[in-house]
Amino acid sequence: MSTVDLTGRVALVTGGAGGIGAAVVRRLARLGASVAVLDLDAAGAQRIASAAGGIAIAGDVTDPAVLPAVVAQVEKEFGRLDIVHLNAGIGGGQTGIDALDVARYRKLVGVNVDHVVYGLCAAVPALRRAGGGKIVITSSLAGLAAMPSDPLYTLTKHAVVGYVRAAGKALAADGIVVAALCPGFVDTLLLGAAKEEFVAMEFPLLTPSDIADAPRR
Amino acid sequence: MITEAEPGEAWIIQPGGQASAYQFRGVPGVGGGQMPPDVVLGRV
Ligand SMILES: NC(=O)c1ccc[n+]([C@@H]2O[C@H](COP(=O)([O-])OP(=O)(O)OC[C@H]3O[C@@H](n4cnc5c(N)ncnc54)[C@H](O)[C@@H]3O)[C@@H](O)[C@H]2O)c1
Repeated sequence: MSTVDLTGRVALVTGGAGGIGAAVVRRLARLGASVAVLDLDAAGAQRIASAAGGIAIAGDVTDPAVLPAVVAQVEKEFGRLDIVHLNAGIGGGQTGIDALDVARYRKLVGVNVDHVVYGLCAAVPALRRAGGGKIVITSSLAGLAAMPSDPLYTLTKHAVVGYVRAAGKALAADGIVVAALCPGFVDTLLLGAAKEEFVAMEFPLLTPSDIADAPRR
Repeated sequence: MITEAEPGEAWIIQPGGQASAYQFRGVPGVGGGQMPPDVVLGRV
């Protein structure tokens, strides 16, 4: 287990009100970082942020104005920004191959893809001002392997991995590390009704803290 | 993860284990040799 000390460092976690994001907030706080929690769920963000000694910000990551404003707010509040975890995400909710709910598809792309693009664009200048930093993005195993039951989710998570690979190389010289997390299935609300299928087939699920605390092999 | 990742890595996390960086295969260069240049597409 890492013994890294993040005291004096400042982190921003999107989708931090629940599931994986909340576990990441707790881990960052345990390591000593000051944490800002951004989520659509204002009450949940407040609960997680308060427990971590951080601040909560309510906002929709699909709005291009939100992440620049949040980054500015975090820098104003804490004086710097060192770590950004772009974690908010949603499931496809449809196969979308031969029948498409366009509004749902646009929302999926908004949360899973646009948010990552807006997030990097807003965060990178702040991380440069801090002398470097880390940007972690929660993709999925569906970012590396096909998930035939949810092709649109697969599309968005592959897009994120491609973006991370290219942006990671582009920003390495600035001392900014961009990397992706590609977890298997995690026991969170995102599973929705599929959770019962995992239970029925006794398929092992990860816990959110398995993701936040995973040591490197 | 936050502290150990290297640029551009994609970390796989599955039940019962540690995280590891996925090893991408890469693509072959022209005739198995020279790789294409890194350019901005669509710039006018
Ligand atoms: N649960 C899994 O099996 C699994 C597996 C691999 C990857 N992931 C990814 O992990 C990330 C976190 O998901 P989770 O499983 O913790 O799900 P979750 O539903 O528990 O948490 C997602 C959080 O994101 C927030 N959110 C959603 N849309 C938002 C928006 N537009 N603006 C701001 N906040 C928004 C939600 O309010 C929620 O707090 C997602 O990117 C997801 O795709 C999940």
